[in-house]
Amino acid sequence: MKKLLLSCLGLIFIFSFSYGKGYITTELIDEAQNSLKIAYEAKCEQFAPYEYSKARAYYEISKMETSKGNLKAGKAAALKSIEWSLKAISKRYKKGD
Amino acid sequence: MLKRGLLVGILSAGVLTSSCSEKFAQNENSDLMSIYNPPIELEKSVEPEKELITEKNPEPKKQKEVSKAPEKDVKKIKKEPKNPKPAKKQKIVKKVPSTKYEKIKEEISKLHKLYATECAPEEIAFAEAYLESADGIKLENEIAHVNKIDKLIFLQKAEVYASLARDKVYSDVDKDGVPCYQEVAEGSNPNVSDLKNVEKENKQIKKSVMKYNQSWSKKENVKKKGWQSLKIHARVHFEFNKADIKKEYLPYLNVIIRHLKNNSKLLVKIIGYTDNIGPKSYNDKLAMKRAKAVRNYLIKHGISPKRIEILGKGKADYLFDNKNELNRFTNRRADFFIMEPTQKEGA
Repeated sequence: MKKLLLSCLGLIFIFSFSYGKGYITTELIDEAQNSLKIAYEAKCEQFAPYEYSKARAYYEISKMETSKGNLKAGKAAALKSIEWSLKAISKRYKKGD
Repeated sequence: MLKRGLLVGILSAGVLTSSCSEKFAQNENSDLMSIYNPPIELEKSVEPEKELITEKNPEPKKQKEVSKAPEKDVKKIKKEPKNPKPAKKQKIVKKVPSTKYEKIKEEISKLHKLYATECAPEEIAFAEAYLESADGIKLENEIAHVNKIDKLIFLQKAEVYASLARDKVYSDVDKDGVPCYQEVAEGSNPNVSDLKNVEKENKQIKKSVMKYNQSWSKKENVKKKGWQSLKIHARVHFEFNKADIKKEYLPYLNVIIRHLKNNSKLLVKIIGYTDNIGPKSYNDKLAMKRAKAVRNYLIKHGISPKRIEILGKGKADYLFDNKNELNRFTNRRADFFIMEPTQKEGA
């Protein structure tokens, strides 16, 4: 019985992290950084500077808010950053080479 | 048993902390967050403005009234300030932070109209992002609010970036004297100087002018081909409705004849004119007769008819208006144009 209880508690402990609330804030910030990297490599800084800068600004905000413990705002800003870097990439490829 | 009990206790504590950590961190009203982000009363910072606004209110007038009013009324008036209207003051306090937000928003919208996305994309993007974040970041259907300190920081940053964007919009990066927003509006590249384009245009204009001048000079040469403009200009006047040369003009004509004889290469062009009296067809004939009369005189005195060209213009090219007899007499004439060949033929 005790073993069963222990294993159940262990499972709860593990799943609380992975399936608790979808993505964790740090994961989203990582994703935002990756999308920014992709946008930079696609020369969005040159061809879609407004969109790329907005993605960068939201990334900075998400880092700032997360570091201060406001995870909800951090998540939202990271998502916004990803959204704007995607916009930058799409604009860059609309223009062509 | 003790060991097992300890393990169970540790695990349960871990589960509790993990499940509550995010909720705990997000909860602004939690004790920890209140320590981390101590609540700041904006009202305190706003108080001076509140005072300023209250000064503008009609309260001072009331004080003046107090000084004028009799003592009984003074008591009544003095009682009134004890029950001030708090609703108005609260409204004023609420408006102050929103005005800053609105000011920055207005400035950003103005900058957008001045092509800030082209002239200062980075600055305007940062300003917008900070401004939007200050109001709360939208996450699907929810709005993730930031705390008051961050709100102030974001507003400050938005203001700074907006001012930077404004500077860039009005700046002249390529130093051609045209600000960035104007160049974008005109459709030119704000980073490339228009002076080069102007120089190119000037060169093109110069080239075209040179070409035009060359072609014009060629045309002039064609006109002149073999002949220079008038050398001697003479004039003979006639009586009304007559084509006889007056004796007074014969010495002048003799001078011309002598000159023509001395220079066998010279040509003569004679144009006859009339005054405004009579029909046009008659006057044209009369003008021709006058030109012929002069021509005949020249031929009589040994000038070859091949060297003489005549033309009757009639009622045209008046020297004066035909209001009086003297003017009409001046207009009744035959003009001489003696032409000589150019020095460089075919030039």
